[in-house]
Amino acid sequence: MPASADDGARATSGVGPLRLGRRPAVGSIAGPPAVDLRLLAFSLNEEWYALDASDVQSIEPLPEITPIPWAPEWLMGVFNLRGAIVPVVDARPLLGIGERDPQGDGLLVIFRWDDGAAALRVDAVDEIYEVAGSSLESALAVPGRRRAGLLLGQVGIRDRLVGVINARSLVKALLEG
Amino acid sequence: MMARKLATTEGKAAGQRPAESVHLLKLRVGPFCLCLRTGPIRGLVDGGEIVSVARETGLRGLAWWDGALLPVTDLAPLLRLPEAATTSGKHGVVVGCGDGAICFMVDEVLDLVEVPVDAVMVLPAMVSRAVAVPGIDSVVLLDRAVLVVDPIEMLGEDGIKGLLKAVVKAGGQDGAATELGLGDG
Repeated sequence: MPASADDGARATSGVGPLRLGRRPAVGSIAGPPAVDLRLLAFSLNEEWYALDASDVQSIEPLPEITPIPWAPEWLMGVFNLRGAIVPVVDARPLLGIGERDPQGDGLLVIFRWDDGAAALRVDAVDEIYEVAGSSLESALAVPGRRRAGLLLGQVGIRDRLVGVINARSLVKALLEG
Repeated sequence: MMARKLATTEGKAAGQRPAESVHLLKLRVGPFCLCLRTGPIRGLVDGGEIVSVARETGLRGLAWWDGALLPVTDLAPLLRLPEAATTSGKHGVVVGCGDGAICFMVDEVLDLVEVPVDAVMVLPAMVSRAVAVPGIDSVVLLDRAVLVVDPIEMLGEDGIKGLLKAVVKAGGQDGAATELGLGDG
């Protein structure tokens, strides 16, 4: 779900330029906290996650995806992004938050990693938030979920607990199976 | 004979077209839309020309092609597709292999396309590392991204040997492998 309007932040409900959300009130006692992280928040199966905004290249509508034979469950296929072939990743199986839904709606968050660009299929994109590094907590271990190593940590934003995904660790975990 | 040769088309293309283009045969197997480079393709065979044999591993039947006996196999298993996912392959694509050829059955032959060489791209590193199957390494930009595959590479040396053994077993012809010209495949 996009951010509520009660705090004055504008929501990014779909594709478009990334917008800067209002600084969250996490750990704010005397003046605004130092901003160490800019996070793009998005939802996956009713849970909230975020990527470091500096890793994010763009947000795209869900295109026609070309499936790949022998692909592992997390690899939805590839698509043509303005002349470049980009792999589409569905992180839900890896995060333990449900099965892949190839027919579902959603958006693609295009992010950069060491060997190029990849697309993360998400349900909805919220906004970019500025977060103090000190507000990042260790991610809680959840039984049955493989989260350790995939998340940089978790942070509270607007009454939500947002898991901050480490893009490089995610790709590494995907490729190492 | 219903079979059609593509060699003439390819020859003309090579003589008249600039080297910057590549010809691809677009086809469908189950949910996959794929392209094969036309260079190694010898022709197309109608499913009705295939002589079914007792199913041996990988071998679907036999076909006579240009005076030679060809093993016929389904492309679907090489794409990890269950049998139910295809319409059991009604068209054969004859692909050169060594001095012989192998006929791969597909569901539909869609089109023969010519694209600039730079429209065929290597798959992204993430995909290559995740899939790591020989013969699946390129994609072409048509109206959408379409995989370019090499069925001979996908079959692999062991797959070719397995087919030959199956041909011999099915046909009872000890000289079949030699006749097929695939022995050194």
